[in-house]
Amino acid sequence: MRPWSWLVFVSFGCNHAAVLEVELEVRAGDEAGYLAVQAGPATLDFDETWQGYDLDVVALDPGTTRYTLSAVTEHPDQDLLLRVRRCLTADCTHLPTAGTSERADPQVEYRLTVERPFFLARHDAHASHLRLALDVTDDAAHCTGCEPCASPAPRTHACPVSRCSVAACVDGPGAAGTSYCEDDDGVERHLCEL
Amino acid sequence: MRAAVLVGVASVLLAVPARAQERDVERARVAYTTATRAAEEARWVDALDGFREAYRFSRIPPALLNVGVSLRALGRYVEARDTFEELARLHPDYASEVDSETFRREVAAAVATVVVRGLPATSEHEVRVDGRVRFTAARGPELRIELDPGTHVVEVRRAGFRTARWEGPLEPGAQASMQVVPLAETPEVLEREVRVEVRPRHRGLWIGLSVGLVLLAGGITGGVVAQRNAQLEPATNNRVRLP
Repeated sequence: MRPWSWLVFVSFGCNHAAVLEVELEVRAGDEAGYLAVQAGPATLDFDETWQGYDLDVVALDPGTTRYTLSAVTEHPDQDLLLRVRRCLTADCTHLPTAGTSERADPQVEYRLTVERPFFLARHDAHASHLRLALDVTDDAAHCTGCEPCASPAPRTHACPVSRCSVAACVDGPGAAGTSYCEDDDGVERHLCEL
Repeated sequence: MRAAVLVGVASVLLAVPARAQERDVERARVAYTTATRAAEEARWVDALDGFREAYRFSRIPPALLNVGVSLRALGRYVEARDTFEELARLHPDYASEVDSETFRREVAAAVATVVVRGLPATSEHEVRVDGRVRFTAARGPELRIELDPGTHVVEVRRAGFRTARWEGPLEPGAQASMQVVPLAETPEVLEREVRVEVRPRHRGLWIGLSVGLVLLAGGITGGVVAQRNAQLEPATNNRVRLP
């Protein structure tokens, strides 16, 4: 079974708030446990605790798990950070037995830096999609749809996501049905061009 | 032995001022992770240092429990026993949950003892163990010295008298008696009798411990966990507002 994670972005430009809807489809294989997801601005540091940004936890289903999240901002000129973890306990606090092969939570962590995924225009609302595949099994080392991941720590994968990977303005009331969004001047632009 | 998940850590951490908490929790988490890796590789000195640091910055009981485990693995049973006792005193609920009393008893059974008898109650004596001063003003008639198993040297000194010295191996749980008879007005403290009674060894008790303990949960990595989201809607409408 292939690992899949999906990020779906939806932008609404008419109310001066860009909304990013995230849909994850995460492959955990036979690994039991929980999926813990945090989203925050690029001002955060992956090496630090994200105070003030909630951690959402869902139980992993056998095989793949689908997860959705909406990120809202009035300042679209920013990156989005996503920290996606597989944990053995619901509160992601499992600590191992000394002298055994157990590991502390998180078992696997993806650090996704999504480059400027928001689109905000004066008119209309837009929907964008970004599809990623995350494998959170022990041997996970890849994220389909991401650029090559680095490994700053064991089982920790830092993965950049280019804005060129984002299919913006595909859905929604003002969507053009393409990956191009019409800005306030009536010019259609891809997120790559912003 | 595997303990259950500790759920009170977050509240412990929240008792720390926010800014300090964030920094300390992260530091504790790193220390704990590093120590765990060291324990997995049987680098117990490194593990001990890491778990001590983790406890210092987090005060979560699993870290203290692992301090005791590391000390036990190093054969430092006296300190291990004291650590388990400290765990029971400071974190009674957690100690009960993981049944640390069992570990305390087993570690305590491995502590060896040298009993020094015959010391005058009216005089002060310096007692050295393995060259280090253990007591500066010991008085009689009896002095019990707890030691980890191994070969040790016990010296009893008193100004104007010859030093009484005992040296020998101590098995886990063994007790040795050292009888000293200071002779007044003579530069002698006679080592009249050194008797070593070796109790049955308790190695069998250690088999279950040698693998290590299950350490729980806690707020080290849980500094993150403590932020469990109460605002996000479930399933398809989880929301995060970015600045």
